[in-house]
Amino acid sequence: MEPKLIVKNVTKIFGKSQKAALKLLESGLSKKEILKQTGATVGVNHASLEVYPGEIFVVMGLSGSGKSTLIRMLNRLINPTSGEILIDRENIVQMGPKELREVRRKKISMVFQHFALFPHKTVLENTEYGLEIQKIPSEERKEKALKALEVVGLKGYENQLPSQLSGGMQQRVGLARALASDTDILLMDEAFSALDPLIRKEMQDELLEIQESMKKTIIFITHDLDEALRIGDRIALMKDGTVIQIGTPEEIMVNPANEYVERFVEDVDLSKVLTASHVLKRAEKISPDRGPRVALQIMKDQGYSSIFIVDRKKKLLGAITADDASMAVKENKSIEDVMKRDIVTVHEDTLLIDLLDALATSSLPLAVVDGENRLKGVIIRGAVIGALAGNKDALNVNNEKEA
Amino acid sequence: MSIPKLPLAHWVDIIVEWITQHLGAFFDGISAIIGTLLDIIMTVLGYGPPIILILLLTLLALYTSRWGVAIFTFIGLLLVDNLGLWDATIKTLALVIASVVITIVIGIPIGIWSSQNDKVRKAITPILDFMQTMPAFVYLIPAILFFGIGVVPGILASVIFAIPPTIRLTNLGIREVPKDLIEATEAFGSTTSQKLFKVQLPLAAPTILAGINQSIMLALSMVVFASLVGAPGLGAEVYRAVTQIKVGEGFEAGLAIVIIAIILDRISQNFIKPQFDKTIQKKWIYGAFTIVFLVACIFAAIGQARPDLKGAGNVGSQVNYEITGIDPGAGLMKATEKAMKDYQLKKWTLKEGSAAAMTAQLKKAYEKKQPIIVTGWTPHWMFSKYKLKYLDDPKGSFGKGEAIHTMVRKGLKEDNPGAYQILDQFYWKPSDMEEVMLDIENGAKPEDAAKKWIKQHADKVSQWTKGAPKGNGKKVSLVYVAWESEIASTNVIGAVLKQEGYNVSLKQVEAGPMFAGVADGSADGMVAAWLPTTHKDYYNKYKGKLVDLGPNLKGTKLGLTVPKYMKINSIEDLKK
Repeated sequence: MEPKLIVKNVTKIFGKSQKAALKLLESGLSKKEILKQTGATVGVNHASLEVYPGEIFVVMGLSGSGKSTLIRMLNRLINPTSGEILIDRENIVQMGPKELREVRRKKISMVFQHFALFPHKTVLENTEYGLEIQKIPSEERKEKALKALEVVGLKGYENQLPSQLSGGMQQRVGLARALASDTDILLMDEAFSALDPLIRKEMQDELLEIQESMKKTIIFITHDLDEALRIGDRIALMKDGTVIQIGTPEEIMVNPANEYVERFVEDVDLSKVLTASHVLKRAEKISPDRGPRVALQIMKDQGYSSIFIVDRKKKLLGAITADDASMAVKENKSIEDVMKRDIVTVHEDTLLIDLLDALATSSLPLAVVDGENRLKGVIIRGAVIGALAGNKDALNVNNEKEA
Repeated sequence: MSIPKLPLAHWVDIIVEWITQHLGAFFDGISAIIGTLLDIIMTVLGYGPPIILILLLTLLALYTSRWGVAIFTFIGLLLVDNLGLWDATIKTLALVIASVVITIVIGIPIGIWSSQNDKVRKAITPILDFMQTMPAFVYLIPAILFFGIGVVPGILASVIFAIPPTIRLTNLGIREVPKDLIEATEAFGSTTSQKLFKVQLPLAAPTILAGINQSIMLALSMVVFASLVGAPGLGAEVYRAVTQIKVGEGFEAGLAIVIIAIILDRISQNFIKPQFDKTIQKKWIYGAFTIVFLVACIFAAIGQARPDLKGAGNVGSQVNYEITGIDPGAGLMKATEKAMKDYQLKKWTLKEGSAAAMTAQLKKAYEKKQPIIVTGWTPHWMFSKYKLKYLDDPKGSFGKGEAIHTMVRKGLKEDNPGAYQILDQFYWKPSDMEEVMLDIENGAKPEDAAKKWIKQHADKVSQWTKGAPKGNGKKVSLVYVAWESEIASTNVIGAVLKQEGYNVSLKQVEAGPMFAGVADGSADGMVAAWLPTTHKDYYNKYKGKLVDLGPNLKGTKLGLTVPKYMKINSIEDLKK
C-alpha cells in the first residue's frame, strides 16, 4: 500500500543562525552542543516516517521531545528548516501560500489540545468554519456540519456557545470541526490530554469507533504511553527531536530499540498491550469422527485433561474432557454426544487484560480463534502469568501461531 | 567649555516653512474635507429643537447602559440647554464626533497593520509616545500654519492627541488573541483577511472599543485647547471665561463639558454589550441610529452645497465671510463686533483664536497672496514685516487711537518709591517699540532685544531713571500679556529696572489675570493696559483697586487690517 503521508529527513531549528546550526547538526553534533555554540534550538532532528491510509499513527514522547513541532510541520503551521513532507506524493514544503491553503482546506485538518474553539461563534458556526472559509454555500455547509456534530454525539447543541459546554463536549466540537472539512488526514495534537481520565478514555473509544467507519489517516500526538498503546496502530517514539523507534505497540513493548525505549515502556501495564496471540500455545485437537477412544489416548499421551474438537476446516466445535471421553467409551457414545459446545473462546487480538476474567472462571483452557472461528491455539494460566511478570521467554515473540 | 546651542527650533521652523509652501494645496484639500464633515455633523446635530437630540441621546443611553445613565443624560442635557450652552455643546459634540471618526478611520487600520508586522509596531511605538507626551499646544502651532485657524487645526490636534489609545489597543487586542485560535484558523486554510475579519477583529473588539472610549475622552479634553486656535464650542466658552476672569461662567461651561464627558463615556463603554441586548438586538438599534444619522447628513450636505453657488467673486466669498480675530474677550474683538453691527455685516463671522494664531494665519495667506481680513493694531511688528493697510472706518466704530498705560498696585509708591518713579517716567513712541518687536520677531531673545535697544537709546533711558534712587536688590514684579508689543515694552522696562539694581521678575499671563494681579497686589505693576478701548472691561472692573500712572505710549490704532495687495479700502467695501 502506498503511504498517504511521507516525512523525509525533516529538521526544524529555532532561533538565530539556523544555517550554521544545520551544518553542525549534519556533522553529528548533539542538540546541547549546538545550543551552546550557536544559540539555536534543534526542535526536530532528521525525522522520517511514513503513514499509511486508514491507520492511526501515534507520535509519542515527553514534553520537549519535538512531537508538537513535528505535527505542526505536517500542515506547515511551522515551516521545516530542511527535509520533505509529501502528502499524496506532493511535497508541501515547496508550496506557495495558495497551494498550501488548498492542502489545508481539502486534505489535512487538525484537532487542538486546548480545543481552540472560537468563543464568539456557536457550536454550529465553529463546526462550519473550515467550510465557511472555502465559501461553500451556507445550506451545504450547515448540512455537513450537522452531520459531523451528529457523528460526535452533539446533536441538539448547535446553537450553544463553546463556553456553555464541558471540556469533553468542547473537544467533540473540535473533532466535529475537523471532520466537517472531510479531509483524509486528521492531525490530533494531544487532543485528549486536557480532559480528565474518564472522559479521555471515553473519547478514545469514540475515536476508535469513528475511525472504524470513516477510515481516516490519523496522526495522533500524545505524551501518554497508555493512550498511545490503546489507540495506535503504529507508534513513533521521539526523544530530543529524534524519532527513536517506529513500530506496532507490541514491537515497541517487546523489542525496545534501545535502553531509552526500554526504560520508557518498563512501567507499562503489559496486560493492556499483550494480546492472546502473544501467549497462546499449540492446542491439541481432534476431529469428532476419530472417536472418543483416540481422544482419550491423545490426552493420556500428552497429559492433558481436555482436548478441543474441530471440523475438517479447523473450525472449533467444542471440547471434551478426559472424564467425558472415558464415559463415552464405556457407554459407546460418539464424541459429538458428550462434548461441551458452550466453551469460552477469545479472539487472537484480545488484550490479556480482557481475558483474565474468563481465564479465572473457565474450567477449560481458553480457546483462541480467528475471525472465522478457526482454532488458533490455547491459553493456559502459566503462560499468561509468565508474560505479565515480564518473562520474555513466555512470549511468542515471532508471532508463532499454529499454521 | 560651552557647546553652542543646537538650532533645533530653527530647523523645525525651516521644515514647517517648506511644508507650508510646497504642500499647501494638499492641506487646503484636507482642510476643506474636514471642514465640510464638521459642518454637516453640526447641522445634523443642531437640527430641530434641542429636545429631539436630548431624547435620542437619552434613548441611546438607556439602551446601552441603564436607567441611571439615561436619567442622568436627560437631566444633564436639559441643564446644559437651560444654561444657554446648547449651541456650544452641539459644536463640541460635533468636534468630538468628527475627531473620533477620523481617529477610527486612521487609527484602526494602523493598529491592525502594526499587529501584523513587528517592524511597523516597533516604528510606531515611539511615535505614539511622542504624540502622547508632547504638550498638545505644540502641535497647534504647525496646525495653524498648515490649516489656518478655526476648527480644522483643532480637530487635527485632537486627532493627534486622541489617536494613540485606539492604535495601541487595536494592536494589543489583536495580538492578545490566543495563539491556538490563530493556529486553528490557519490550519483550516484561512487567508490573512479571513483570519483578521472572522477571528482576530471580533475577538479583539472589546479591547478596541476600550481604546476608542479612551480616544473619545482624550478628544473631549482637547476641545478646550482647540479653542485657542479658534475652534468653537464649550472650550471657547471656558477660554473666554478664563481670559475675563468670569468664575461663574467658567464653571457653567466646565460643568457642561463634564456632563458631556460622562454621557459619552458611559455610552461608549457599554456600546459592545448593551444592557438591553436581549430585548432588542443591537444591530437593529445601531442600524437605525446610523441610518437616521446618514440620511440627515445627506440632507445637510445638500443644504450646504447650495449657498456656495451664489455671490462668488466678491471679497466676502473669497474669505468665506470670515474676519480673523484674536483672543475672545479682547477689546479689539468687542470693537470689531461693534463695527460689524455698525456696518451691518450680517453674513460675516468673527473667528476667535489668539494673537499668535492670527499672525500665523496672516503669514500663511500673505505668502500665497490670498485675501484675508484680520483684526489689527499698532504697534505691531506685522506692519514692519508685511505690507498691510487699515480699512477706512468712516463710522468710527474702532474709536480714535489708544494709549498704553502703566498701572501699579496701591502702596507701591510707599513701599518702593524708586521703582514707582521709574515706571511713572517710562514713556516712549510706537516706532521705538516696533524696533524692539521686529528684533524679537526676527529671532532675538526678548531680553537681548531690550538690552540692545537700551544701549542704543541711552538718552531716552536716562530720562526715565532721572532722580530715582538705586534699587539695591529691592524686588519688583511685573506682569504682562503675551502680545508682541507688551513683551517688548515689559522687557525693556524690566531691563532698565535691573540695570538700576532692582531684582526684577516678569510674569506672562492673560489680560484678565494681569489686571487682577496688579489689583490684588500679587504683582507690583504692568506697562500693558490698552485704553480706552482694548482693556476697557478690565479697567472698569478694577479701576478703584490700582493706580493708573498714565500712558507710556500714545498713538496706537485698532482696525480691520488687510494686505496691501487686496483691492478694498474701506469697511464699507465688505458689504458688497
